[in-house]
Amino acid sequence: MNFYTLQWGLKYGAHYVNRLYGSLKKHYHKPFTLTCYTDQADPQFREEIQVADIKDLRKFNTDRVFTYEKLILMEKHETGVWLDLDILIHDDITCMADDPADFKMIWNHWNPYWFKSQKWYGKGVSCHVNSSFVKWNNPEWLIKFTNDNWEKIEWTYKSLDKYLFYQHARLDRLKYWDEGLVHNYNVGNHFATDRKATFKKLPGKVVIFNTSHKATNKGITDVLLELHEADFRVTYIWEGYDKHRQ
Amino acid sequence: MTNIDNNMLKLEDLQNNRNILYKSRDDFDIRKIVFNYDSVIFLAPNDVSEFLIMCNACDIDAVAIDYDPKFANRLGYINKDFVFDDVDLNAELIICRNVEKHYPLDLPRGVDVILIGDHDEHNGDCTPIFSPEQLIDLYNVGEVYQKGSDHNGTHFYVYGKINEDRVL
Repeated sequence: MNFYTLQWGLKYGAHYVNRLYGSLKKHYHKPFTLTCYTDQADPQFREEIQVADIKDLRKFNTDRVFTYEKLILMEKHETGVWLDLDILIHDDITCMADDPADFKMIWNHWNPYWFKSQKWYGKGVSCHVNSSFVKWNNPEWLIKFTNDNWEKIEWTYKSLDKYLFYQHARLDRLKYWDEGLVHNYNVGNHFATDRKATFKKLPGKVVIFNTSHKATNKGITDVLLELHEADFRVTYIWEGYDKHRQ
Repeated sequence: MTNIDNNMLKLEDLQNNRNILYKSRDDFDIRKIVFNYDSVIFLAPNDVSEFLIMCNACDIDAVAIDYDPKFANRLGYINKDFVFDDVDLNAELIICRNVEKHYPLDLPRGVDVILIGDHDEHNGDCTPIFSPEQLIDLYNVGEVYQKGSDHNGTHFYVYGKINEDRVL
């Protein structure tokens, strides 16, 4: 399996990329590659990581549709899994990565859809999907729709997730990971608040942190922790993916 | 055109329907204008159910197109995205109540329109509107019947006709 991730700017350093590789090495039980599309080929990357120029994915000259580069990955590679850097894989994901669906992403099970998402739907600010962990198998329909409607998409949506939610989840075109596989650290009280709780096993197989929308939307006052700011359960596992500890 | 005495319509019953009302500096009143037409389309107006029922009771063919799932089975609503989906925009009057929230539409040439937009910059707004002239340019409104703003100067409207020879 070929895994892909994106890195640009200074928010997430080489240790994020390296530990993502380490997590795959531990929790994907078949041969694999990890390619990091980046704007700065960091010499600190593990030598097993393949590096590519993120410009290769910037087909459109835009600062909108945040992380639309993920869609261009699908044009370049018929099948694969894209992973955000700020996720913690902490259990066997082989079945997820080998899923035969043409496009499978995260449904935000932790948010009650009818209560929260539909309330804001008409305002255009709802989003109930997340693209931090996506498997694709040649979704020609999605590539075609995106190319055919790019001008409207670029004008309308600030992020890839909103585009996918409003144009494709709305028409039931997407498939989602089963409830329980992916959790959001910053929603649902998954963080440990006392020492006793730190010994509880993390839920599911993947934990996401999903902090980017705080920067792109105003009025979000929630405290959203990054992966490296999380509690001991998380950082202990995450730091364990360093090469010298595997 | 349908000419109906506004007094017969008991418009005051709709005073609380803020999705229809627009408090301009002048006497611009969407409700009164609508009753001069035989067919009207409201684009993403949120809940205007009562007004739609009243219009249709007065032989005005009035529908709303709104992709919000809460309108999936609502009388008078077509539950589609008028920007991305195939929709029939054949009407005498088209009302876009929230221009700031969507891509500038390719409206039929020669159709009368009411365009209202703001620059409140709510999350999700992709087309902030700063003046009536911007609305005119954006939609290629040829003949302008009326234009203006609200009391705060943040919401702008244009009532007019899309250019017959619109260049796309």
